[in-house]
Amino acid sequence: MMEILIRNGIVFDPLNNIKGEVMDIAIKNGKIVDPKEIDESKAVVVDAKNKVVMAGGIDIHSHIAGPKVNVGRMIRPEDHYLTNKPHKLPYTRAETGLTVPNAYRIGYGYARLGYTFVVEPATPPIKTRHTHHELNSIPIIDKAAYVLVDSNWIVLDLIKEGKKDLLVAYLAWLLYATKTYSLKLVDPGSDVAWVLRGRGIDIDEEIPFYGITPKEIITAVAEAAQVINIPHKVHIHCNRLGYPGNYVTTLKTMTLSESVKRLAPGPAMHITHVQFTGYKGDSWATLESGGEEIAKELNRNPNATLDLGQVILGRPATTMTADAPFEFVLYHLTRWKWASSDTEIDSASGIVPYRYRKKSYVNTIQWVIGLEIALLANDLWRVFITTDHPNAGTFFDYPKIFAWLVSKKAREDTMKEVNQRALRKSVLPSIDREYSLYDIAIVTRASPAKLLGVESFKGHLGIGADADVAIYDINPNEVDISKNYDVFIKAFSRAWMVIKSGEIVVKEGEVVKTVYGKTFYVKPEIPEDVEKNLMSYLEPAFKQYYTVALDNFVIGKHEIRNPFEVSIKTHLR
Amino acid sequence: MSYVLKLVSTPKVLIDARSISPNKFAGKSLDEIRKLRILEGGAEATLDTLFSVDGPSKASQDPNSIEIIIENSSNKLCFIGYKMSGGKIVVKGDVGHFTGYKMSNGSIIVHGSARNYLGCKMRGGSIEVFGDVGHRAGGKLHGEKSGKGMRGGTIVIHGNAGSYLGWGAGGGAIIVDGNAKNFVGADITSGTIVVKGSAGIYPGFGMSGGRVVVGGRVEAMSPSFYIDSIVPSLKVRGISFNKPFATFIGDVLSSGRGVLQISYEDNKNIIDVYKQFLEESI
Amino acid sequence: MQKTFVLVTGRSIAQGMWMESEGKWSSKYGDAVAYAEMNPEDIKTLGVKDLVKIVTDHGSVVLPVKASEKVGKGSIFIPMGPWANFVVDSDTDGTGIPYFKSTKARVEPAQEPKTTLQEILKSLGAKVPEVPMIDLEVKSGEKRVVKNVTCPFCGDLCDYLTIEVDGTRIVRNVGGCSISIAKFLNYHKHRILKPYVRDGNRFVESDLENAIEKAAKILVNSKYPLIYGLSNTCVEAIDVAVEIAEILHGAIDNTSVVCHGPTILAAQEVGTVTPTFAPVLHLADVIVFWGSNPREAHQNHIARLITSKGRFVEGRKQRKIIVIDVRKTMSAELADIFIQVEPGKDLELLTALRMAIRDLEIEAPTVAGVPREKILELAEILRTARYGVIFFGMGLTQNDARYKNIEMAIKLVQELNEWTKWVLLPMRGHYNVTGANHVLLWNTGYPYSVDFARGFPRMFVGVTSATDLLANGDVDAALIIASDPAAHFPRKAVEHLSKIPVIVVDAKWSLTTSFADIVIPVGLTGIECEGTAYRMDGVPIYMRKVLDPPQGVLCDKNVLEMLLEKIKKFKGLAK
Repeated sequence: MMEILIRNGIVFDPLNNIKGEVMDIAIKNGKIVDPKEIDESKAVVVDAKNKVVMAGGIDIHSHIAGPKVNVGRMIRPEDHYLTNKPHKLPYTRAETGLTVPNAYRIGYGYARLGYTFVVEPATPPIKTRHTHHELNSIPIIDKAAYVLVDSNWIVLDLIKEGKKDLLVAYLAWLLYATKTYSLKLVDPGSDVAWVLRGRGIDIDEEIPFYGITPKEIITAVAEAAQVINIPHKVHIHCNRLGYPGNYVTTLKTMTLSESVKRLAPGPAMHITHVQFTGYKGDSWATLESGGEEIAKELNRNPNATLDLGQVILGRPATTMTADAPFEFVLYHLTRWKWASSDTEIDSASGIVPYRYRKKSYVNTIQWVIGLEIALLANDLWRVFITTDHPNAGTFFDYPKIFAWLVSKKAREDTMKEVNQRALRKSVLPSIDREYSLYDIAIVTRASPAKLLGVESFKGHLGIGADADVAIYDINPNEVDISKNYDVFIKAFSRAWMVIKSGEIVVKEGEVVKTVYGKTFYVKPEIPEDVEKNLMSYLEPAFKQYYTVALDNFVIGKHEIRNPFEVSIKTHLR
Repeated sequence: MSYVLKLVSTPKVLIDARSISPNKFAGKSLDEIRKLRILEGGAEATLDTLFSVDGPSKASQDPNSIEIIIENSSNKLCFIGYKMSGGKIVVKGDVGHFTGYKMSNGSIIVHGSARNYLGCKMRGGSIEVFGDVGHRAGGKLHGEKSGKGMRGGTIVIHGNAGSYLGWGAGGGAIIVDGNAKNFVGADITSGTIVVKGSAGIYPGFGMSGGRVVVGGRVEAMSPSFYIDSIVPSLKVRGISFNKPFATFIGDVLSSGRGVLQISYEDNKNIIDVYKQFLEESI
Repeated sequence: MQKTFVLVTGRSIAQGMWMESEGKWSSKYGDAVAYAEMNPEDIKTLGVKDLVKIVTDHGSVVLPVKASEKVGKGSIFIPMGPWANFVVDSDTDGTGIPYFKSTKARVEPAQEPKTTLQEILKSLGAKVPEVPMIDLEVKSGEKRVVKNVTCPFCGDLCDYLTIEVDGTRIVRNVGGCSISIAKFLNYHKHRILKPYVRDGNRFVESDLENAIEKAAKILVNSKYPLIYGLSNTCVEAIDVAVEIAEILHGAIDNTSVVCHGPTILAAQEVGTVTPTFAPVLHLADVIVFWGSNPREAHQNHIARLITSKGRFVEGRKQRKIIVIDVRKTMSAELADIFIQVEPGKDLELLTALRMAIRDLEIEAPTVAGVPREKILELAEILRTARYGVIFFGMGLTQNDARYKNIEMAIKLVQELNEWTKWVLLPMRGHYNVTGANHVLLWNTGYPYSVDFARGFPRMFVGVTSATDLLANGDVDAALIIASDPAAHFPRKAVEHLSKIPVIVVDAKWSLTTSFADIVIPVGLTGIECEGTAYRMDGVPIYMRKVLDPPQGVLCDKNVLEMLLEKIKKFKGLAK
């Protein structure tokens, strides 16, 4: 493997407190090393003068792989007809798709943006093997997946029966059996309510048949996560997603994070795509933004983190979530296509194509929410940029979001084109704050690495880190990104150079080499007797509920292309 | 000005011949035209790999003044007239798939037969085929909304048409002198489709607007059409039928405001079932 | 007197069993598929004795006739296979699926003798009329019991089989249905054990390196090659096949095109609402089998999901089974309600049901042979189910209305969801056809009938579908993997295989091998080779192996990887 010396780049590395210093970054054997260790005569020297250098970006929530992504592709051939890029053998495979791209476009697309680690946020246990097949196919980026547990019949049985220890053991076992990274709750309990009764439920409502509430599920799983001690504890898509007035549920969910019994420092729960659950009002006609209230709660409560789910107006999208009841509602609003799946005893899903319109009152309110929260948040280390790709927008449009954050002018120019009545109800026009490039580096590199617990070797450019580097052709000393946000968007849409694990994979926005990243998953250590105890409960339950043999359910390490196992010392005794 | 193309070797695989269009020829020298890109299956080739090309040494900038004549053709030649916006193409033989795809103006005349997807997503201009046409003429592509098919222009087929004629069309007119097969005018939102001969199963299925006329026997009718009236004769797009037609409104499952008219005499057995509703309502 | 009949082709248990055990060259298979079934009254009216001649616009065959009350008047049934396909209309209406269940035929008493397989192969232009009929030698030895083995036959992908092995003999299959047992216990029959290269009208043994090199040369020199099959191999191998198609700028298709392709086309139009097996087992109280005969094609299906006890449903007692079909099939015999629909008219019944659910007036007193009152009754049963499922099969996908049938079925289910919970699931035939769709989807964005002529994927049924490409002679080479189009494609499509170079990668001597120029052996996935298959409901199962493949025989994935490397080398793309 070659040695690389990146000279004179303008480096932004929040985990190491570097705020735009001109410095050299050296790479050897796939890691960042001290420049003194490089033999300059043999190394590839990259002249990064007047260019911004950051660690590779990390996306903590993007639907890139798995059964519902593939069903999305199946029902949306029209998404592929006009969005093709022929292969450039031997460097790249053919690419297609905009809101439901094929595996190659996903990998190359993220790489072109300078991202090097992306997490698939929701995979149902029974079909996670499928998710891994797709993750295996996505080139370049490192990846991981969160496993869905909130509507799992075994989880619900254990919570109802008050068997806390068994629940912890089961979730720990499940994470390793499915080779996933964290625990995911989607509209907790609503999928089982959907499968049993065809509807969703709110956080304090009783789930049909079980009688427990989503609040109990959230608390039980969040506490289990503490005992298992996984780095990223629990990832929550709040109840009542999509309904006017749902911001109240989001606030209730966030305050729960304070009462979770903690065994580790740091945030206790993560609220995802909070835009979709940040609606005030009691109908679509009276819809308003709950962004201010959510930002206030975020600022008050250090136990929760959140990502935006930012809407991109004027663009198509494909909504796809494990929130089956809400997708049924959306199907009625759009009256076009709807795909849904009731998945074993694990979960359910829904897919509905959608389009966000600039002049739409509702879509404009949706657009302001994410930005309000991002701009009103005090602690940027607990805010993450996502579009819940492809639900609120595609990841290709992330640079637009960066522009809205760094440039008030960018916001104003967009605001000229949106629904003005909606805009009048928002505080966004009155917000002057502009993020700096350092802030962007925090929310897209440093804090995601921390959230995933990989900050020792990801998300920064210090010695020992993985050599995942992004170089952007923009000189912040010459270009005022607040005024010339167009230049900024252009630079961040096509990275000037991207290095993944020490290999140059992108040059001037073009993929020049295909490598395959690693799939991260956790292996929580479970003491032998705990495991024995679990198995005597699990084997009959599995046989009763599932339609596959337990033997065949567990995913083997050999099924993952480049497995990266993270051993976890749990608090299980 | 005319260009004459003659096939000099027989294609063995599907050929992507989208370069054969007045727009692609416009403003080019004869040499450049000869070197226009085509695909033989997946292999790169040029127009002169398959054709001898003769014509003026420099083509006019205006596609409207360009006429392309294909002297001997093959049913493997696909995408002829792709996105053309003017000029004329005359084919003295057969053509393959996707002839006149997304064309917006100009005219294509095929003396032989055409295969599938003729005039798919057409917006204007005219296509005339003297022989038969395959399936999915004047329609849309899978996954697209209804109405994204043919939106303007005219397709005239002197022979027979296949199935899914005008599928999902949102405008324009298709006239078939011979017979058509299954699902004539399915899912159309607008436009006019006239089949003088017989049609296969379920014409107009899923239509929400527009007009479908079948002058002969229909193999089966969908129950989602409500009978409206029986007219003694009808005239559509300048074509007169001097015999009675039954008029149906539908497809009610698509909030149907489409008009489906089928020949009364050729379809007595189907229509008489509904007749009681006519008499009841009077 | 010559009346026009409708020719219907389809599965039968015997066809499945002999296909999987003795193989398609055997007389047992021939007996299982070379016959026609007619209604006794039609036999009498036509004055048919033992043999009948079936003539269509596409060919003619002479077959022994069996009388059956199950076949309606005006229909003639031939099990799927080379005899049926010799007369089937290859036109696909631009959808990729031929007229398997609605070719128009003339039927008359026959004077000539029964058409033999050799005659058919000769007419089709087969290159090698007789293939080496060798069995893999098996012997007794170490006794082993392998648990939780997954069956590689149909889309039910039963993964709870216990296979008993004695040396290299497979002696017992506990849990598998009769076709599964036939497959496992006869895994050694009629195996391809060496690579072969064609010389004139015979095969000459070769070695793997040579065969792969020749195959790669053929593919690289062709302008538009077709890769077809894939449903009988694992996901890991199909991934490689897609890369091969892409590099060659060719077309790639799988057996969906003649099976549930129309289901996918319908999903492209309106979406889909599906379950995996567990919700059906635990909740379904109304189950509809429409155009599907699981007792012959998916034998364990009913035992696993319907007669079994679920968490909220006590089993068969608390479930209502409704069978809707054109004839009283074996499955109809255990239905609570059987609705006989006029052949080819399912679309009308689906439409009328949708109208009834939406309280729209149905003007006709009978629809598709079903009285209006019965339709309204049925609509009420559907509307008041707690959790309803529609399982559907070739009865809906292969008749004239093709994907429109499924489109209406999906919309019916979507509309029923306003009232209560409803889902539908296609009964997938091959054990990994669902996997083949998924692999193609994540690689290319499309599920089947994909081509790479322009360097990026495209799908246009009627243009890039294997059936149309072959029937119209649009491709100049073919790589057939784990499939037998010579037996299951209409005559016109198979004839083209005799005119182009064909490479066959398979474990057993299929009929397609008689059209091959190169034959490469592989192990049987699920028995000798490991790999993942996706069940009909999308659940992915990693199939373990029970034995090793024969000496010198590799698995699909390895063979395709070797082929890919060679192709890359010839194209100057190797590292």
